[in-house]
Amino acid sequence: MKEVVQHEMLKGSIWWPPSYAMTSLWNHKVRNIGIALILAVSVSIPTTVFIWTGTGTSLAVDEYFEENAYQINLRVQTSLTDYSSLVEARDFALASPFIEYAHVVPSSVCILQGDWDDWTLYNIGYLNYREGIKDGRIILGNNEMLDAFSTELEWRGELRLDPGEVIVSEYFVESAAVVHDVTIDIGSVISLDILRYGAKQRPKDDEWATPEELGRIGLKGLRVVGIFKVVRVSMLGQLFTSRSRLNWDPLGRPDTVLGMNDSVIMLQDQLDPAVINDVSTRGYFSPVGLLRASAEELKAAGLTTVTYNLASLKVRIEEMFPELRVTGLTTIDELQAHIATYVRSQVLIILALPVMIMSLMLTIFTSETSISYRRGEISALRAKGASFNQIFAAVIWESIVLAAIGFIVGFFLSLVMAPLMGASTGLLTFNMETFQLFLESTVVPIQAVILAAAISMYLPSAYLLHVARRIDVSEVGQPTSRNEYELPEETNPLVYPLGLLLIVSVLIAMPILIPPVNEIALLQLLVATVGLFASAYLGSRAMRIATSHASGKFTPIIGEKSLYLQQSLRRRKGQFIPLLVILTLTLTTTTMVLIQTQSFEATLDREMRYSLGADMRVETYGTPLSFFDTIEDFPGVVAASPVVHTTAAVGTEIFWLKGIRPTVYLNVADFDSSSFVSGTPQSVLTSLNGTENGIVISQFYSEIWGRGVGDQVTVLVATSTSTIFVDFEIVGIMKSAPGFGMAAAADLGGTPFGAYFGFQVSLRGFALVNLEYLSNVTAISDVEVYLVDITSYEEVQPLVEVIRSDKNAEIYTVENVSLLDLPGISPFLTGTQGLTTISYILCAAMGLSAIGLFLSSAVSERQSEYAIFRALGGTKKQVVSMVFGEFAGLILAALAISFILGIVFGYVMTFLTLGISMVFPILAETIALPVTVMVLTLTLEGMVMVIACYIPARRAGSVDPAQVLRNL
Amino acid sequence: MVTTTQTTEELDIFGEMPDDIVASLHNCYKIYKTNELEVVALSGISLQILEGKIMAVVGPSGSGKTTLINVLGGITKATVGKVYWANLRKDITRLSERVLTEARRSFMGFVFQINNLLPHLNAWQNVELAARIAGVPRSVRKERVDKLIKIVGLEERKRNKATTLSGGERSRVAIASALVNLFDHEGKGLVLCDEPTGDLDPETGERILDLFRELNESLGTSFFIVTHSQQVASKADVTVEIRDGVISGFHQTGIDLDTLDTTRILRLDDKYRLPMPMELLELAGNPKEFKITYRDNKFILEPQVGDIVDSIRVRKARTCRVCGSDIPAGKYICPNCGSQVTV
Repeated sequence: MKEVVQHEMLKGSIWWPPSYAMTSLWNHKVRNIGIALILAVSVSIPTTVFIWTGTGTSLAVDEYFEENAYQINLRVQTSLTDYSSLVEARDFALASPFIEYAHVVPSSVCILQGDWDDWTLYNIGYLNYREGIKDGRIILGNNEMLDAFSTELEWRGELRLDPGEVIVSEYFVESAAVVHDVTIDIGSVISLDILRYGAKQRPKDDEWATPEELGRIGLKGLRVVGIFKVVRVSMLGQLFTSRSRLNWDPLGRPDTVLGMNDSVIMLQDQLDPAVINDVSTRGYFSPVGLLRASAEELKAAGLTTVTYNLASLKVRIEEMFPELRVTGLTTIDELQAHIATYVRSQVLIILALPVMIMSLMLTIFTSETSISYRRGEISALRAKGASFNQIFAAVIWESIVLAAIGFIVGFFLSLVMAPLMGASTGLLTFNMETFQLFLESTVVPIQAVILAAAISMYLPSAYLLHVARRIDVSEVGQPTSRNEYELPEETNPLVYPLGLLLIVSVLIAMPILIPPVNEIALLQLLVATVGLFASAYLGSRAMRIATSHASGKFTPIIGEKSLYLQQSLRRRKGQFIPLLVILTLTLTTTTMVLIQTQSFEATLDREMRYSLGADMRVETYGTPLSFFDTIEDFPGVVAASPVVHTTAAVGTEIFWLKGIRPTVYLNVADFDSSSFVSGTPQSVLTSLNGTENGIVISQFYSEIWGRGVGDQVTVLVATSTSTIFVDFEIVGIMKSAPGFGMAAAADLGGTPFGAYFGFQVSLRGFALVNLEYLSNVTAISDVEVYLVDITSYEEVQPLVEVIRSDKNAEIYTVENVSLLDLPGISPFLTGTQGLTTISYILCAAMGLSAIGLFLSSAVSERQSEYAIFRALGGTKKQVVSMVFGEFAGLILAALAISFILGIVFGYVMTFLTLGISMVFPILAETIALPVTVMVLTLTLEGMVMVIACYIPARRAGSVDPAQVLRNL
Repeated sequence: MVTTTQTTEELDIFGEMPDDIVASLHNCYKIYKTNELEVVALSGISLQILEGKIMAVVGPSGSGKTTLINVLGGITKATVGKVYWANLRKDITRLSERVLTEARRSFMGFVFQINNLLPHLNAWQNVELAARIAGVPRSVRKERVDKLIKIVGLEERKRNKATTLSGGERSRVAIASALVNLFDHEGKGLVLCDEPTGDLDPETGERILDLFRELNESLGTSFFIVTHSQQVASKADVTVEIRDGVISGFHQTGIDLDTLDTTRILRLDDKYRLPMPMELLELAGNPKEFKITYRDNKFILEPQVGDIVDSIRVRKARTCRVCGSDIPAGKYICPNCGSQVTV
């Protein structure tokens, strides 16, 4: 048998696919950047929300730590003198990872020494200053403690101690100057006597004792390095409590002394441990245990569990050391509410769901088009010996690189967008300071990274499952992909507008028939998102046919081009429908988000004004009615409506009676058409004014009591001393009233705006009656609320100052009532505003890039067609105008349908956004059409449209028929 | 109970193939199915491509030329039949795509009318690409590409992007690219060309054909060229005519088809069948039957019409081979001994 010489097989390079992928990516830069950026949009949206909530929560925790130098304080129960448990508790706490440091801080009395007579007797409760004794509290701490105090103190010099140094309070300095005529300043050297034994060792607190009895320790040469004062009411004040004492005159005004404000701080280490022990166990004051939690450790253990971890540590200490009084964490509930709001706000992702899905669709569509477009290239590679697996691997590598770029860009986009979300103050308006703060404190939760990575892996997965499979259809030796002939559509064209009408009707009816509240709102948002996509699809199909028909109708204007346009639009459903769907989706979403944001803002603004009731609302804790006259005398005040109230009941229904002066109230208050059910505000309040015992009741009570206007109702009314039955005549029925909120609590589906400020009337609701009549029958004349009509906030300043000086009154105006100041709700509102604004920006950008991407690829695919036109005798100008007309017509169609759909969806989404928001609107939702921004957006899109259509049209015109047709 | 196991030894028909065959087709059929419709693109084609030869296949559009080249290159699988590649020495129709791709890389190159060049690469890179895909080491690759670029005369233009090259230059790049992996075997592979001069002017086409011949002579590479062009056919060592998926002419030397007029050269296939040239059949009025006669060292093929058939059917008297008695015409049993007349 003859010998067979086998040729060596070339197995193929495993490095070629990645290297080719890189070359290929580089060679199709624009398209690939487009794909990566669109993917980045999908990646960035949920990541932004997570980073925003993470950062917001972290900032809330930081703020809490900044406001609370020490979170937990330990003190020995007053009856005990054994302080060892304090030390044990400190050591126990230090063993917890959540405690950054813990100190037992002893303090006692110190007496300033100098070139004056030495003291011989001391009594802590006596007129010491008069006796020439300047005493104060000596706090034996350390630098860590000072560091923690720094947030609550204001100081000159240093807030750091070295041996031989002290920091003194401003009051100590001032009182020393008065008592001894001595100037203590930074750099001064002072001497102090520390009293080791306090009065606790003695039968009575206020007894005289000699220096020996008080265990005097004289310290000389202490250099003052800092002078401080406590700037806010804080835990320090509570820990080192002051006492009220007469210092000079037995009949004078007492001073607050021996507290933090009248103290000297020195290092504990400077004294002998035995002295520290004496001061701790026998000193004037109980030592305190200060526990500072570690914000970093707590945050690392989970942002949402910060308060839980802190609170459980406190409980453990309480359980372990029952002899200690464990205090602190007083404002932890606020922190918890703040954190909880951020966590709940994660649901806002759903608002951006359409943008996310759209960008994913666009990504896959662009990639698929890209692969189809490269069939010729793939065929060439196959001819050169590349195996299916090699090309498959190259394409997958491309997708992996694109996914990585999308991930990185999306992630960095999130790092910018999350602060924008936190700093949003309205549509396209941001607070730069908050932005800066969020930017500097950015926290990236691990879920955000995982989610971003998972979303970016969508591209390789889609390639793996679908797109890359398309390379299989490329055969060796194929020239380029040819557009397959598509038959004109046979479907009845009426199907699409009818389908669209049906979906739109269902969506409009949905929030009206089923009120969108909480979970139902979420569900409806999902349905609306699906509806958005379905509508965009149906709308696109309808508009394609409509544009085709329109092209026919315009024959006299566009001449012979109408035939091409008509046929092209009718036949190319494979090319045009996806383009139209994407354009319609992006443009619809842009309009929708714009309306949604503005309407949400307008609705909240309207709710805020309605809950305030008037331009200015003055809440007092009971001022005499006579004050009313004073108010009206102030400049800038047009009129003021006082409100007197009392509780009342009919059967088991307990409600408020709000006494008003109807004519004044009518002029001052800001009514809504829905306020009164039985008539206009004018007619109802005039009727109330004319009926002394008139009453305006809620529609709810009118229905359950079966009473209407003209009927009598007997109400049990609380007077200043007892209760009486009073007969009222119903003169009107209301749903709500400005300044008071919803008339019946039963009609509230959630927390209304006013409730956050206490403007929503509590109990089961309220009824309006005449103020004078109510005052007469109940003998109540204290006014709780004034609704004031003012010319401007500036002009009314004198009144503002007078009311502010009276600590029993609060002023609320449009300027200072903002939910953004409430930690329990502000994240949700800024988040909603921020996310919708971001969605708007992203959507507009995506719409514009979609136009560019699609049209340029459409021209590339149809080069041969344009070449044939030229070959048949068409001029360059004719081709340009034909292509421009076709594309512009398409985009106009998309713009037209998007405008209509955008308004519909904007309306529906406003309802649903309010449904998931934490504010229940009392009034009907205000649908705002932001004309300026809409016109600006449309103009911008129009401009880009013209450019985006003209550039590919020019490219189409410059197709060289000789070049293109030779390869047909 | 006794069981008998029969073992059938598969006949390795290719093992005994002459060494000078680079590739061959044996009784290949290719049927495309589109919905309800079946199109027979190749109908029992058998041919051998000899090493170091240029074989041209000519035929009208739709005759099955491109299908033939695809089946031969292993791009499309034959519905029925066997395809043999010298480097594998086995039927490739049963091999997996992976093995085929690997085997093809070192054995076969493709040149198409559209050249299959990547527009973003320059001439040198386009040539190199096939070697990169195959995993040829960088230094070897560079040497080979430089050499090939020199052979095809593109040294001056090697840094130019494919889009800036002329049609002839693109063809040269495509040819160099097709040869880059055959260097392992000193060029002894097969280059399959589908209308390589289709979009070139006659003069440039001529130069490309000269290049084929030059490469064929210098490297010993075999070329299988599918073409419409008489110009190409005239340069080939063997020209095969194909019509309706059947080989209808087989000319051993590069000839001008027009000079053949109504004469065709045919070759028996491996089943000793002889295809009939369609155009000649048409000329003869598409007869369904023939009379073939071998006389005076010649085959005479006559369409079977009219009286000829009747004359053949004339019955004759015979002599019994057993007893020697006369058997009358029209009788086939000996009236004397009863023996049968056998053919």
